[in-house]
Amino acid sequence: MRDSKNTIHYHLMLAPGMILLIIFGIVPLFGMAIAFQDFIPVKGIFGSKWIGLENFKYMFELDDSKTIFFNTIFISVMKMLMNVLIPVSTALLLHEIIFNRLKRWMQTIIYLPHFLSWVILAGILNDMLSQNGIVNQLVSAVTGEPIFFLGSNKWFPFVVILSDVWKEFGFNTIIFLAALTAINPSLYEAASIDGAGRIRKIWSVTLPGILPTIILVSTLNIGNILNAGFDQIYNLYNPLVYESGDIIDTYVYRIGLVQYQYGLATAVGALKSVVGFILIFVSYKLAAKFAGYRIF
Amino acid sequence: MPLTGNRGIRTTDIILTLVMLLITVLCLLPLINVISLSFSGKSAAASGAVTLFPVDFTFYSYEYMFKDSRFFDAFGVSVKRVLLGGAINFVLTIMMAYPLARERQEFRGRDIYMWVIVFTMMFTGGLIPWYMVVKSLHLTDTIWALVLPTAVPIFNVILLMNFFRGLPKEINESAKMDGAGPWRTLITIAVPLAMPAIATVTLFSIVSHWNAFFDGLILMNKQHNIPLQTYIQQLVVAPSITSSTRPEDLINFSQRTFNAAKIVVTMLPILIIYPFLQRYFVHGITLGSVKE
Amino acid sequence: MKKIVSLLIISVLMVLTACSGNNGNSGGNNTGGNSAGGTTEPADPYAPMSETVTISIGKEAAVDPKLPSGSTIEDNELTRYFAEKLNVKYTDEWQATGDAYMQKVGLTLSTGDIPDVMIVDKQQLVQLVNADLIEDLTSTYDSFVSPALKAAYDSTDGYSLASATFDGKLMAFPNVSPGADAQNMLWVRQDWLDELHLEAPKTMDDIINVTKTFMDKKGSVGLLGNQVIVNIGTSVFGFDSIFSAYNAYPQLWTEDASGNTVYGSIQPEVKDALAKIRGWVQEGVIDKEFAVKKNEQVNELVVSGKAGIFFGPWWLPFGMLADSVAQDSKAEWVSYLSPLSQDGKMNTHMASPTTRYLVVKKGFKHPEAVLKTLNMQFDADQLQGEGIVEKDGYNWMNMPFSLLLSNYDDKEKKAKLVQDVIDGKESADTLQGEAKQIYNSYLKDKENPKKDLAAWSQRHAFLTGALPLIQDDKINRKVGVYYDQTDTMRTKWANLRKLEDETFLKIIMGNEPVDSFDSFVDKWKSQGGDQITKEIAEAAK
Repeated sequence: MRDSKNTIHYHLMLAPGMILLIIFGIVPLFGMAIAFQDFIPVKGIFGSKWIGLENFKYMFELDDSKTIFFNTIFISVMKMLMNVLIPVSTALLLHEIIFNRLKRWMQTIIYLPHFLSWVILAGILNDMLSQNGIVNQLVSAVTGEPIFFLGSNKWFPFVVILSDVWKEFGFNTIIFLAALTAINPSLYEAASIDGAGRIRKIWSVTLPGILPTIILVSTLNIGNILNAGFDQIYNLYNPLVYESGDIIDTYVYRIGLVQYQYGLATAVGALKSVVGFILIFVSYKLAAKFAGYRIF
Repeated sequence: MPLTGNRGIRTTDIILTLVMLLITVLCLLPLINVISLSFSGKSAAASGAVTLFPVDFTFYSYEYMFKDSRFFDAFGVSVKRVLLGGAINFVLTIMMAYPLARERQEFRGRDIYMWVIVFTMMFTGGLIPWYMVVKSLHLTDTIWALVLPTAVPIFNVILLMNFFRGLPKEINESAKMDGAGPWRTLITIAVPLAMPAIATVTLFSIVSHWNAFFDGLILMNKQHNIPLQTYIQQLVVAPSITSSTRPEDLINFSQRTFNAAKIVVTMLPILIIYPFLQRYFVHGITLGSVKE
Repeated sequence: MKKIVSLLIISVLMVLTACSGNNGNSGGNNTGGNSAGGTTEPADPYAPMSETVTISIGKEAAVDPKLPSGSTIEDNELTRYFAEKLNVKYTDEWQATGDAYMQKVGLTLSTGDIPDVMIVDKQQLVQLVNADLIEDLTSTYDSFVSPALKAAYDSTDGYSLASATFDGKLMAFPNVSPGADAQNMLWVRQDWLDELHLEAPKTMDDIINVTKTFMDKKGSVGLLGNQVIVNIGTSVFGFDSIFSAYNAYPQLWTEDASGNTVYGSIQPEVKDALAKIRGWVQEGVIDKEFAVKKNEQVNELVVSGKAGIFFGPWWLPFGMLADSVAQDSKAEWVSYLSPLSQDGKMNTHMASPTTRYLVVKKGFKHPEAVLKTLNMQFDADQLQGEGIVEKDGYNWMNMPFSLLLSNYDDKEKKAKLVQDVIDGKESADTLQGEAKQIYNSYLKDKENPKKDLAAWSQRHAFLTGALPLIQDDKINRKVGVYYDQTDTMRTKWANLRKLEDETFLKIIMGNEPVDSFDSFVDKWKSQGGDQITKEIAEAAK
């Protein structure tokens, strides 16, 4: 009896948000129909021709589609991994800092690169990675030969991955820091009493404490697997590194330069959504089955 | 006052701090470069002379941005949207995360809501239907167009839900025994305990509203209704044969210092707000009455 | 005086040709109230409308309108002037700037309520024509176009109007961009040439020699490049001139000796040019990092005095070169018609003068009000708003319609007018509008060289940059046969361009042998190139 009384309230709490979500999130989904059309703006959705899976097939039948998909996934996965590893480590590190005021400043500063635009960062990276730039000065000192970072298919993906991590690690660090502060301090006290040192505490108290958050953040990120970072790559790439740097979005962008194709763009968006959603769902099921843990 | 309790400062503390400092400096250097660029002379910036300090110090880029009355219009719009949108986000995020954090047994149907929300996060109909929906509700060119479509920040909701879930179950038990209903429990108990997470999602929401430019671009019809980022974004143009900007107009632009000034203006509010929110990133309230 | 006479002559000639070649009527099936039968307005290009007409506009707003408070994009000294003179009310249905404008147009098209007047690109124009949503403007044009505007359209040799004509009907008013923007010249540090007692480079080999000497004696980096190695539109630092010196025209659709339409990038001359460029990169004469640098970084080299020779358009003094002079007042930049090809002339590609079209919604009762506005806009722009704006700064986009209208040879013509005055051949009061401004800048800069950079910029852009382009006898202008898209390009072009860009860069950088050009040509043809070539040939007829 009491439960159903509470349930009403829970529905009420969700109501306003759900209504807005339905209006702005679910209703517009009718536009996914465009993915199956040869959409011409003047004709609108009801006037444009239906072409079934043509748009999707087109993406897969492109000459370079294998390379493009591979690049997208490779860069994405590497970014996801690093974007968990580095922020977790940083959060742990920050947590251990005892100088409070300094800590707050550092916490703020590491978030700031997030606000730099890739337009300006591309310029900075270009300078840093040029033949006579700082990085190559170090490299030449060691190996004698500068590396053509932005022109080499070997190095380009790593430039992309590392620079993105540098820019965005502050964001996830905030999340993990918040999670860290939620850990019951008495657990640390108990560990101290058991004689645990700093490392031990991290291993047995901290990490398990933030594990749910790590899993959650990772799962949500997996949904983004086909978004390898258009803005960044567009500003950094050039035809020499198409082989390793051309991703789905940059290719679709160049198609759009010839003639913007709403149908194709929507189809690509739909593909990304479907793949992402499936991966999230699978992660959820796996975690539920093998760890007995419900992510959502 | 360093948080050492009664153990004093150890070498490891110093080392850890230095490592963190190194990381911080790596983040700081390009930022300093950008700030310096924004205060540098146009030609000095163009020649690559600016590294860590402004060269030919000038307020030119900022003047250029501010002198136009459109800047203040846009600034006003952004402030409005941050306050209004931020408030709506705040309320809705909390109100949605809490019930979703309930157990299945306590709240049947929770799973359905959850998956609908995740689905909505992943799938979108694209630009055209989004525009059509806003237009048909007659929201275009109003502040509501900037605030309602993003009223439910799904990622934040899920994050906060996860956080609520992590709160000790005993809290709910004792609240129930005190006769508190769900609303009371939410407001008086869950929210205070979740302050770090709430501070986090509030920060994200404010940043998101402050930085948003695309909705302003598409959903606002008149130039005096656009938010700050939209205004700033459109101020940098490179001439090309198909664009309508004539090269003669180049003389007044300096893309580099301008791009830099854009970023500084974008970062400023965060620099002010984030430290303020950080005070909530503290270890949980003493759960005095709750013993394992 | 000369200008007016020549304009008159041209107009008369054009009217005569138009009358003979044009099947003027609108073919009779436009609905209500259009100019073919319905208007009672006298055929005067400038007369005010007898009753106030309201025009709603999808407006592309200027990024920097320079408007003080009291004036807005919708309502400023310029718009009020037009409103008053023509008895028209201009309202902006919506405003957008830059790239966002095109997106907004796309959205407007899909939701269906288009304003009376909008500016669209070619594809959107085609869609609108096919959907029968815009007015046929043929008779409006014939009756109401002003001589000056007509001359501007005719300066493109009929290309502009033709590109807006479907089945003999003019369906939009096209824009005209100045042709000077697409022609690159050689910009050189004259002070370095003088210091090292070098002659101005003429051929490609001269250029290389001068570059080597600059590198040697002045420590400069080599010849500059752009990762976009050829751009038919605006190509700063591009290698376009190098290619055209060897009679190669990548990316341009042209006719070969037998009159067939061919694609410039797959012609054998390109292979030779690529081999040459590759050689220079290997030698180090061309800065090998050009492929990865952004324009910003390359600009740096010029501004900081580390580069003294490169290819670029006439307007560079307005931006980068002004910065260079600000940093080093000894810098003297001169532009040369170089490199010269074997016949002693400079070869250059030309870009399409028209990329934007002003359309009028079908059923709009007074399209002549639109054209009259354009007539006046053209004149006002030629005068740079003189006599119209007082407190507002002048920006052409503050006029009601953001359609760029200019003479195709605008820049070099104005430069010549000013130069004639300087040489004493004409008196200064024949100058008006922008030409007058240029002359004033010249005087200002002559008095106090380089003190007022805005004056320096305007003077040099026109008198140093644009003026050489007036020498028609020294320039071979290769005009493309077609500049728009065809059907198959929708699906295949992005891939073909990727193939081309990758192959060319790899050959130049030495990652692939020059002979890979041949397999590129084969691949290009089989992956849709042949099909597209056929379509372009059809469209170009």
